[in-house]
Amino acid sequence: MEPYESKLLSLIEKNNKIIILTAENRVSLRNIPEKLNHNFIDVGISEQNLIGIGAGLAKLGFLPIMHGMSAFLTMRAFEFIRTDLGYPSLPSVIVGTFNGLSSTANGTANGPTHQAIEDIALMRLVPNMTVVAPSDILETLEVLDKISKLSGPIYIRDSNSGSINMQREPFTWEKNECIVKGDNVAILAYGTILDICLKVSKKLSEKSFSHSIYNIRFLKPIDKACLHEIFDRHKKIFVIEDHISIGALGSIIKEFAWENNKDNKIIFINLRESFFRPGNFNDALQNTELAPGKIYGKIINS
Amino acid sequence: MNNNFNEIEFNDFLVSCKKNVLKMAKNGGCFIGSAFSCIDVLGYLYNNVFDIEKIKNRKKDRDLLILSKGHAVAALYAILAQVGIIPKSRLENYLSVNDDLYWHPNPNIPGIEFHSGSMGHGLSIGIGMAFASKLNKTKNRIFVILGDGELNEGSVWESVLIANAYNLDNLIVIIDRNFRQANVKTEELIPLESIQEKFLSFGWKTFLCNGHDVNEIHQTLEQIFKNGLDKPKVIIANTIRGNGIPLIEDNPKYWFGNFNDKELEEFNKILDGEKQEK
Repeated sequence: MEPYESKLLSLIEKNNKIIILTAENRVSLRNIPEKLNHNFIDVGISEQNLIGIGAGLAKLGFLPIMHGMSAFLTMRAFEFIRTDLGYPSLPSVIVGTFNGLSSTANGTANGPTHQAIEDIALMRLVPNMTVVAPSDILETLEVLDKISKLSGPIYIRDSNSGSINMQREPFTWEKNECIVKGDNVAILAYGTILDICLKVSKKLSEKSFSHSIYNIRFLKPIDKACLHEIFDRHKKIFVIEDHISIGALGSIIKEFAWENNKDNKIIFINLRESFFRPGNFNDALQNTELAPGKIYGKIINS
Repeated sequence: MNNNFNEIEFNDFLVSCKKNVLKMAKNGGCFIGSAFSCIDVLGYLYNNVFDIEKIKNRKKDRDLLILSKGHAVAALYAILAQVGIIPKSRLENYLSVNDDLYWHPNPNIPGIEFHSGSMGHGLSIGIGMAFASKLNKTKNRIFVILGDGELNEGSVWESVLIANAYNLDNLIVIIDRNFRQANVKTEELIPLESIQEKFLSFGWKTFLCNGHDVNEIHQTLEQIFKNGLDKPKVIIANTIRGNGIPLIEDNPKYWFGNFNDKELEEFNKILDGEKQEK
């Protein structure tokens, strides 16, 4: 059994009101449906109903955890999420997989239909929504540990990657994390791309290039104290994400800089406004500006 | 279930509810055609089926109703006021920004279980509640009122499949079959017939009734409740949009209506006449 599955089982043991739902996406749930019994509902390939049914359950006091591919959840079911979960602020959990350049099961081979490269922008639009993008499985489990205290819906951009093998600060709700502390240059990332940035970080350190790496896992609400620290301590800020340039971390940082009269130099590395070329994960990655070598080049030559 | 169903008393109740709707058909108006299409069925549920005290006190085992065709909500406000779930004086706040009585239902109004307005959501919400009721073992009955035009929405048919797959026998859908949608006749746009055969083939139990004949509504629901719980159920209630007011009956101009005092006085007289006739 996978750690994600064990976590769900242990959460339900403590809180029997948790219901695991899926729109026939069982990638992260393969081993538990039988064990969950009535706490598991697979609605078939119908994302709109997945959310509507979750809303009905939530309205009567249950805590639904709804699974699906990020592209179909956040786009096909967008209106249900906005109207049936967001407007009434129903405590509920949406777990989207296969998003950005997520390497999960080589999801980059799926092509444009399955690409979720605008999911964070969409979910940030939903009133009362919390948006979190864990960088590894341990962080996903930390988020799940807090769901019984939700006062509204949360979108988890689950990149389902392995674990980042580093000394990390203890997880704090709605707080970001500084993983590498340096001067002058700050690198901001989340989810799958954080691990890529940590690889770049290693190379930068080998060249004694001082820099910081921040894990901006909470995309809504924004950890403003963390952003102030970043802007105060670094002249240059690299915002790196596997998302289109509109509506996610790049936009957050632009808005923050404008609102706070910051004149730091900010460089954005993302998927611009286009789909990425499908292919095996490493090929797909290399074909974007998010390839580690290209990120490294941009930073070291900045 | 009220076993002492008294048709004369119930008709008086309906006339009072319809008069409440007329109070909302001015100064901004309401979807009067849709309201008068389903008000007899809704009125029957609140007057004869639901335990009003349980709804007022939000008892866990209360009957739950989702008005998926939310624009007909004037009928619901009218009934909630008539059965005392909300005070009648609250209807005076209709369309005021200081209250929540607008063109679609809001759960800030006692008796309204979930907001609606966007077509094709209510049945999935109802299914969620049907699951919740089974998990809670609270034996609620979940009623979802769908418009026939609403059956154009694909999400409705996802729900119809799912309710059958999970044998949600605590779910009762009532289709307000007035053969009209916002602008046109249903059969002239996206033909829906046979609705009954569609639901049968999806594994549901189906019932037909005249949605304006109180005895037929009574008998259909009696049959459902007596036969016990098995499979999701749908009642196709044949209705007339704007029923009871000749000017607006099945008149494509009056899905929505916003009238002046003189017109409303005329409508009130028609309703008074209806009361005397019966």
